[in-house]
Amino acid sequence: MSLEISYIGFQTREERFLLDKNTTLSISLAPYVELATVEVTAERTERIEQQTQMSRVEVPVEQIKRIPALLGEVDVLKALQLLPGVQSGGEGQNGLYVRGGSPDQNLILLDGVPVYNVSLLGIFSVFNADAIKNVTLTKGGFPARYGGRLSSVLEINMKEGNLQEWHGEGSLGLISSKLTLSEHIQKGKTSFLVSGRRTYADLIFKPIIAAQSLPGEDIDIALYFYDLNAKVQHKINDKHRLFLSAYTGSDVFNNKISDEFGSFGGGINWGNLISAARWNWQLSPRMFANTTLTYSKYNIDINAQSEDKNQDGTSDRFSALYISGIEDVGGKIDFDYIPNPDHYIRFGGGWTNHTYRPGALNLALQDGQDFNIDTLIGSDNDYSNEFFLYAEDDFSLGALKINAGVHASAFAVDDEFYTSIQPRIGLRYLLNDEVALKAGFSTMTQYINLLTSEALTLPTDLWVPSTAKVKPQQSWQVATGVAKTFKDQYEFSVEGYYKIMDNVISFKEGASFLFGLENDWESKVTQGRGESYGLEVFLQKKSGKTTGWIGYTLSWNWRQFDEINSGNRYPFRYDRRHDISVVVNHDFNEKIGLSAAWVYGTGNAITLNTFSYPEQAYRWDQNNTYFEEIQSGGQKNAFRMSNYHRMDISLEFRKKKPKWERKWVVGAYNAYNHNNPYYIISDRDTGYDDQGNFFDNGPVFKEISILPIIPSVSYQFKF
Amino acid sequence: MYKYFALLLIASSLYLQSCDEDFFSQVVEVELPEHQSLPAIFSEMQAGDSFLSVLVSNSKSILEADTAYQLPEDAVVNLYQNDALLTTLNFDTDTKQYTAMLPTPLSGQTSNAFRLEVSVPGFETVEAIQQMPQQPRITNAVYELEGTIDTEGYRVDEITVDIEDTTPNQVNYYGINVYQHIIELDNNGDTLYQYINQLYLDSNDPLLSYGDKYSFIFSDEGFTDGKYQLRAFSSYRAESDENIEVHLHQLTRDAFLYYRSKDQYYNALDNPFAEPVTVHTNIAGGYGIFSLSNVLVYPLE
Repeated sequence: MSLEISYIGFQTREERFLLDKNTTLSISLAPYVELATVEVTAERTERIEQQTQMSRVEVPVEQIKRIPALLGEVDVLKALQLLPGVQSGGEGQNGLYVRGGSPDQNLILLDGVPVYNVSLLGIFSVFNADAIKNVTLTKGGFPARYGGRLSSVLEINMKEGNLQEWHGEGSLGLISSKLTLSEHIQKGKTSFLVSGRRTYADLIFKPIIAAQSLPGEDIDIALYFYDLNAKVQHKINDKHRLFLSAYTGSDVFNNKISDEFGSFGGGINWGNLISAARWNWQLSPRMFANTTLTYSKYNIDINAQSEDKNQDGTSDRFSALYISGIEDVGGKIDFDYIPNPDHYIRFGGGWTNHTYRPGALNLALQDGQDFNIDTLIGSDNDYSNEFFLYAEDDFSLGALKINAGVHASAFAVDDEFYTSIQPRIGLRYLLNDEVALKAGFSTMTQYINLLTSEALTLPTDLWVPSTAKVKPQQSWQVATGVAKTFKDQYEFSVEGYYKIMDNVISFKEGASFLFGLENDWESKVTQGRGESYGLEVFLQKKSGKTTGWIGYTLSWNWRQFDEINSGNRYPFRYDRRHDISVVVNHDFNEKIGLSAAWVYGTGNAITLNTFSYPEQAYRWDQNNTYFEEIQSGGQKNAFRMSNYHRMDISLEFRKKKPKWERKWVVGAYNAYNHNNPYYIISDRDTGYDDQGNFFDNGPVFKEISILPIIPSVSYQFKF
Repeated sequence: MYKYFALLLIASSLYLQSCDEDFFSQVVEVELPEHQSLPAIFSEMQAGDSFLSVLVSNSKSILEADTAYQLPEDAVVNLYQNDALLTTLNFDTDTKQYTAMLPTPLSGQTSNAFRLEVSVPGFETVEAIQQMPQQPRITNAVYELEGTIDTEGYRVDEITVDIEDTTPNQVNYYGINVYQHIIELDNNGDTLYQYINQLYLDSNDPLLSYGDKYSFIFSDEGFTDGKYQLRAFSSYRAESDENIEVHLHQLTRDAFLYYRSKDQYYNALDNPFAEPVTVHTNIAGGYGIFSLSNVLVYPLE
């Protein structure tokens, strides 16, 4: 008997043995590290036309690491933004907008645990590529095992420690450094992996700021993020395995300026804590169970404080602390049952308890020695419980392969109890050995919402539950397409999709999202409908000296709210008619490789007041009339910012030593320094002419770009 | 190794260059598409009105330095009732608006459709059509001095108004104001002066929105069995509960959307954290609003 084992990101291995009884094999796969190995991967992994699942992309971590990155910091989410059907929010941002959805509609799972905030410093993802084993994004045709979000499921699994030997890798970059170590605790049975990362912008800026401060003035600044991944696996015996994984990361931005008269300062701190314990149990040769307990927490606090020193030695002090977040405790059990080669049955269920803090403001005031206030506003937490059950079967009927299932969920919040039955089906029909027709239909329900401004993405975004007034979001999506592999090297797919989203949430027009949410967020939001449709084309070359892909998305994305834009349908801010990405990796030889990525996207749709008209006229005197005017853009999001395009490049110089290898990576973000729009401001065109005379040419609008060409260099090593 | 150091040197140079202040602050002037000016019309009419007025102007690009708007004197402004010309409004040089005095007040019959048609030389004719809304119904209203407690814990006056939906098969829109007639007497008991004072209201009821010239606007989508009790409080602290009257307006949908968006618009001005607001317009071929309302004045006993 010959058994071939392959897994994305790992070398395929073949085992030969005599099959004369029930046999259990434990096989370790080695990760890809060499170019020669990459050539093998594409031939041995399941070909795209063989998979029932459509709208699903698996991106090898080694390929993600090759993509040129901002400041050399490898970024999983920015790599995913290069795929068709996935859009970025704005320059440098990490939000994923999948098939017309918003970032809160993505279920992002790190080792099965939902991650609520995926961004560090607003521009880097929380996922440290050195600690990641694989990345899978599902955009539609969702199998029944997934639920809880409308638009996508992003599964990211952390690496396990090596059970046999000591391994490590790391890098030193312009903005951050990281180190990953893995080792066995008990050879062949227990291993661990630990990976840490920290930026050091504050260490760079501190001496610069100190040099510019006034005499007697002390400026203390903290600006960094750090994260830490850890995972332990323990093989109890051939049938039982335990995995413990944890992630913690935090963004810190604080400053304090003090002198002899007092001090003032403030900052924003936010971060995630994620942990999971998974027990993998082989109940029989045909049945497996995974039991997972999870705990996660996302917190944000915004603080400000001041102190005025009085002549009598006392001080007047004021401090404000705004705190918000979400905390989850949950458990789930998943069964995989393979009764025969024509059926693959999955079923299971789970529960999550959510604790929300939509926002609480702690104010403290001390006036000398006479007057003290310390009060907490909006401190009440909200609680909810979410339950789900699912069952699905992946089965074959000749050339037709079907994945059919149902996902049932329920949500208990206050006195409300919502339920939802969500049928799912995926079809694949093989026209011949290389071409398959695919189709998928799925309905999804989402019970938690992210309150976020369309105008700005800030970490002050709040997670809130569905309530009696705010109904759960629901969607249905149908997709169909063709998949083909040709010359064993190229994968080609075309997919069309149509998606309706009901009860999507948005701030009402004129609502201010920054303050006041702690008490009455429900009165500031409204619910409506989203509609998106489009076509995605994806051509990928997975092996050879030159690899990469070309992705193109043609899409339309609409929103309609009774309370916004007079109830008229309008384009979503991220309605992007054309979105193109080209990624190329080329190895000149074993030592030198070149990578480049080029992206192009239609400009974002924004509301910009481009004209005005009067609604009242008051006559002052015979010659003067005062007008009360309305400024308008006609319809909401009627103005398009300039189109976006950018090229990133990087060069790798590799060297292999007997026991370790290293590489220098030199790159440039926005290599041809295109001014990509980030936001628009109104201003006046004023200045002085050559003769020194002041001129004012009236109002103008200006697009502000924030990321010009940014070179980077990093040193990476592995042993 | 030399080539690596050369590359490192180039990269470092570029990096340092990128730290230059001007290098990061990249600003590009935006070319706005040329604005096509259109007529801008503004007119609010109410059942029972005899005097009508319409402001006729035009839109202009936000980039125009001139802050004044044109007020054309040679426009043709006609108001039609059920497709029959009701009146032609003429330019008034004092108010700079088009005005007319009707021989009989504007009819409050709900079967009446009013069409405002405006032709400004150089522009296509623009128009808006509104159906006269039904007069609303109040079954009871009570004003109680210091009858409740406001959000900050102070005792304030409370008003409750019981409203009945007269056309439950359609969505109706309302605007409400409360006034008090104040009469000041001298020592002889003669009227010194009298005026009408508007009582500004607030409420915790999520059904109610602020609505520009109305204390609240709301729709009957939140009514129960066609009935609704509006509860609001006034920090005004009236000296007595006499001579108070409720003005309940039934609005057209366009009027409701206009007042709501206009209130949001002015609240969002100069607030960089506010979501953008598009003020509702219903002038086909132009901008602005033509709205109708039908008012019920309900004096409290």
